[in-house]
Amino acid sequence: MVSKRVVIIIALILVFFLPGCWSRTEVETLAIVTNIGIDTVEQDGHVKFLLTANIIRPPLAGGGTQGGGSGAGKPVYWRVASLGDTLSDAERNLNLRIPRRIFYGHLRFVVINEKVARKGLADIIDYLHRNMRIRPRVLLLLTPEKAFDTLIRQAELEPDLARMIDEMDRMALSRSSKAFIDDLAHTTGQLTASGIDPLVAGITPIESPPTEPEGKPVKVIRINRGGAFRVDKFVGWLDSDEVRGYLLGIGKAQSGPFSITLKPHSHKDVNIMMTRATGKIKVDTDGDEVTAVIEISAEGDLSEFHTTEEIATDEGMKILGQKFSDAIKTEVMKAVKKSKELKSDIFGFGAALHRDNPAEWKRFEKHWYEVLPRIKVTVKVTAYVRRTGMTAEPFKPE
Amino acid sequence: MKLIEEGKISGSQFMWLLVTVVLPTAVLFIPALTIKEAGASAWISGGVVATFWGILVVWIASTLGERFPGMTLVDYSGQIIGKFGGKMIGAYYIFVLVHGIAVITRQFGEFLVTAFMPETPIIVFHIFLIALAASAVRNGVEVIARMNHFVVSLMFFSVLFIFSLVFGEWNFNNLLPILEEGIGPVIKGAFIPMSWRGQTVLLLIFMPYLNNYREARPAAYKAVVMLGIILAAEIIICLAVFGQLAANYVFPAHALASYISVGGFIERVEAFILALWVAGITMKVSIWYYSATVLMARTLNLQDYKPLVLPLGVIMLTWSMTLFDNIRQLVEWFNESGPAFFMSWEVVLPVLLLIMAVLRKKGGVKSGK
Repeated sequence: MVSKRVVIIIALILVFFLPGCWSRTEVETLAIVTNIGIDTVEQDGHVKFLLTANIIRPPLAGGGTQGGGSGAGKPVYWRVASLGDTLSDAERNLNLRIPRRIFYGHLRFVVINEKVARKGLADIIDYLHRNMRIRPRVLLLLTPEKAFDTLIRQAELEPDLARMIDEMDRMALSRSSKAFIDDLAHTTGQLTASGIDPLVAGITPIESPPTEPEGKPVKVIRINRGGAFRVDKFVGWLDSDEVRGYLLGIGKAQSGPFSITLKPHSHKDVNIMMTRATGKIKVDTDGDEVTAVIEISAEGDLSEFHTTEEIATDEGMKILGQKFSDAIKTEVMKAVKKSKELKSDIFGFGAALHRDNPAEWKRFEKHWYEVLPRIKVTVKVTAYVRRTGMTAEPFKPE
Repeated sequence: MKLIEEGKISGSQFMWLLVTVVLPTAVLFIPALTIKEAGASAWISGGVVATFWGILVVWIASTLGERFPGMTLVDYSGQIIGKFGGKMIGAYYIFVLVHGIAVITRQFGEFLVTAFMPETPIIVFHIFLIALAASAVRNGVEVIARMNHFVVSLMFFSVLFIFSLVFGEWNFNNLLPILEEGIGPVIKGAFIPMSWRGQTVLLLIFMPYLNNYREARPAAYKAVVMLGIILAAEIIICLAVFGQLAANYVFPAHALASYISVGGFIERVEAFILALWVAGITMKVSIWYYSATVLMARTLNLQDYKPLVLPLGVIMLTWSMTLFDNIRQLVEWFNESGPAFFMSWEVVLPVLLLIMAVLRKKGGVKSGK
């Protein structure tokens, strides 16, 4: 009965594996990092990385199982930072201070200091991609202050910054299209592809008046701009309108308010709420000239009307549609102008030329950033105003 | 001319066997290697060129096999070029199969260590994989074929389904321009998928077990086309999601799986993918392992193949550990020696055998019969 004996021996060996797996890690030994921030610091003549992490605060020992007991009033995360010659070095140096293993599996976003980004993103992106725990969907953000300071700002309505940014990522496009938080994979893709440059969402740190009765002013963040890159180096900011122009051009914009002027006034008197939009870029060459056509089609509803004219007519809607198109066109042109000024091909004109006409692209590829400001861009918009909301004619105060 | 084993398999089981012979490691490694060479046209290399090549390999192999129904490779090689020559062919196939298993095992181990368990010694994965496969081999071809039918058909459709979950991120502009650098890079990029697809030549080993040997050819064509569809789809999706960046990843399919986010709640599915891959690669190794073992038994004129299972397993294990120093050596091996190594037994030997058989009028449907 050899086989029976073998079975028994194997069964006995297997008993040793029952208590757990090889190189297991208990969740109580992990420091779950939700966000990291990257700065550089000069120390003794060397440039070092300062890695800041937001870590989920573990429930305190003996803390109540009933929600809100132990940690009432305390934020659910804390901030910790450490220096290192490289980012990996800084990451492991964190462990000289905290007793838990740094765990990136739930990392939601990475904040990068503007000055670091000016020197180039490639090194940082390499670190992020090489790590097996960091997903390609991690969001990237730029901040003008130290990332170290950004990561201690107040999260609003959500328990922590990670969840707040996560929701804002979804919200930005579907509510205003004035901001766009792109992820690691896309940004790296744009960074490595020729003829297209990344645009990374930018944070503006602000001090808000008190948010609760008898409260103090709070330090919060606003995501209202975009950092344009040339190859992998940050070159300048786009404001929120320019970001929307960019999003309209590349066809990512979804919804958002457009304030326009119908009659010659000093103020904007009509608002059209865009409901959907598509955009397409076509690039062609003519000798040494490069021409680009951005085709946009959009739809919107009337959401505010400040004058008393009759507007609820077919004619009126067409006039509004025309104004709406003009507004879109202006915004896109502003973004294009900025892109040319910064010599940053965020729209991907180069990539579009490469796609449509590879032979011509070869000719321009080498000196593309000199060609870029000379591109003749035309924006063609077909925009319609479809509905007027719940009221037809404006109310006439008499 | 009796077989080593009495097992019988059906046409559809045969088809899935051939899918497994290629698929599990191909989905892991092919996209990065092909995109690196062929860029945006990689799907033509991996999907179209390699499929035609696969059809050619299957045509050669099944024409050879059909001339000698019910006979094993070693036996008819013996008839064609003499007993000694037959043994030499058998020995060469044993060598390439054992070497191939060592490579597959290493791929599997490297993947697990890189992407999931960096602290576990790689040999642990190798031991478990080879031990599992050894157990499957000892159970015979019928067990392998049935298990494989279940595991790999599941894997095939799940992989397609999971990859299509990233549809929100598809940008087919990344596939343009088609054939930018002409056909050259596409052909160059096709060498690796071609050598992978050619592994379907193992149909020679499994043909004698078929209930009806006529089913082999259509089943093998089907398998090759299915592989073409899934690999082309995978490369297209990798390109559509990541663009050229896909070539920078060691395992683009894994990156793709970790990129999935549907409605904010279907996320982090790569563990599911991992389960499928572990199952699939175990089946792939079992099939290769089985082929090597029965070939060896036949070459040595043994009555039973079972005593050979463990010794071969130990050789494979040692080989898989010592073959490469690092992961890039593994990848470079596929680029440099791989094509020649694979072509030698996938195409060159079967073609030579077929030509000799025709010239010496051995086997098959003799004219005038």
